[in-house]
Order: sequence, then C-alpha cells, then structure tokens
Amino acid sequence: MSVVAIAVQSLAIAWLLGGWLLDVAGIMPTVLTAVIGGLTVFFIAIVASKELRSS
Amino acid sequence: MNQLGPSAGRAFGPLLAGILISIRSVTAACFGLTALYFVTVIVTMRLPHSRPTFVQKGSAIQQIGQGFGHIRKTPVVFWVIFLQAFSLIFFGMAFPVIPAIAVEVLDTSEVQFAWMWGAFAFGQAAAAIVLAIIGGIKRSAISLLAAVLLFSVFFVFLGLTDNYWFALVFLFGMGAALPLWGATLMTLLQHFTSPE
Repeated sequence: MSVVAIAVQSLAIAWLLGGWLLDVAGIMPTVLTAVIGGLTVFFIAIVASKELRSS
Repeated sequence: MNQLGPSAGRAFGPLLAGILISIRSVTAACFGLTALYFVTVIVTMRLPHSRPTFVQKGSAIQQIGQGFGHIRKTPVVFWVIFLQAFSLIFFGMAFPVIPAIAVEVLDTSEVQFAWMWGAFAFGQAAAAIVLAIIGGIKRSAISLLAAVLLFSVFFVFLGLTDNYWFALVFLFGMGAALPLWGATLMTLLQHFTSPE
C-alpha cells in the first residue's frame, strides 16, 4: 500500500503539467495531450502484461 | 461505499461553497469550511477506540522497500502500479482543465461552476451504484478499457463544447468512468498482493 500511495501522488504532477500546458498551449491541446497520453499508457500496459490482458 | 463517500463529498462540497460564495462572499465559504473542519474534529475525537486487525512490521522505508521487492517479483502488480501512476498523470490533467473551461469558455457563475463538479460527482456515484447492483464487471481488462474510452470520449467532447448544459452531461460521463477504473485497479491489487 505504501507504493500505491506513492503512485497516487502523480495527481500532483497532473495538476502541474495540466496547468502549465493550459498556459502555453490552451484548452484543446491540453485535453488532447491528456487523452492521447492516457490511452497510450493504458495500451502499453495491456500489451506488455498478458496477466492484465486476461484478467 | 468506497466510491460513494468521496463522490458525495465532491458533489455537495463545491455546491455548498458555490452557494455561500454567491449569496455572501469567499470569506463566508472559508468560515464555513473552518466550521466544518471543527465539527469533523469533534466527531473524530468521539469515535470509539479501535485496534487495527493487522499491524505492519518495520518502518515506512522498510515497507516501501518490501513493496518494491514484491513488485519486482510480480510483474502484473508492476503494470497495475504503472497504470495507476502514469495514467493519472495524463487523465488527471482534467482537473485543472475543468476550471479553465468554466472560466474561459462557459463563463459560469460560482453556483454553475459548483454544479459542474456536482455533475462529475453524480456521474461517479451513479456508476458506483450501478456497479454495486450488477456486481461489477467480471473481466478487469474490459472494465479498464470501458473506463478509459468513456473518460476520453466525454473529455474530448467537453473540450469542444461551449454549451453549459452539454458540459454537465459530459462531466457526468467522465465521472461515471472513475468507479470502473478505480474499483477495478483496487480489485486487481488486492487479488495479486498478499496482506503482508
């Protein structure tokens, strides 16, 4: 659970990165970065882990 | 229950704060929050003493070390943690985007903005209730895929809309994806990790 607690802190990075992207790029590029990035992470994990795929 | 409690807080907290700000001021909302914290402290102090059923041995650093050791030996746990950490970095960007859309695109009042968070939380609560009724989705991979697609589609629509009522619908959809995602990841972690 300690490691999970560390992983969940990535939400703070999301706020920082999202706020910075809103400033430099605007709303729609931030939305697209979030969606494309999130989907990429998801498919990397699904493709890499057979157990996750079959779970 | 794990999903319903926080979603109820996320629905009613911003709503009450928005109402207080619109009828009084930001100061009134801050005082309201302080009063609520005071009540919370009193209630917490009056809770009956309870002993934890399982006490972890070693310091926090040792527990983290043991956790990383377990992850190294159990690849599926590594990928679940990877999903939890890195997807949150990207999908979590929705949280600063929502206030930006409210101010720059929708030009909402305080109460309207509060209802945006309310719609998000109501979506979360509704999905949690539906999942509880149907007993969850058996295939975790399908549940995670449904969650990311639901969240992504509604998030893109939210970014495109300039209509307040459509925004509420899209936020409801985004909120509905959270229990699918959160409950499934927690179930996977519990399934692949032992209590110690």
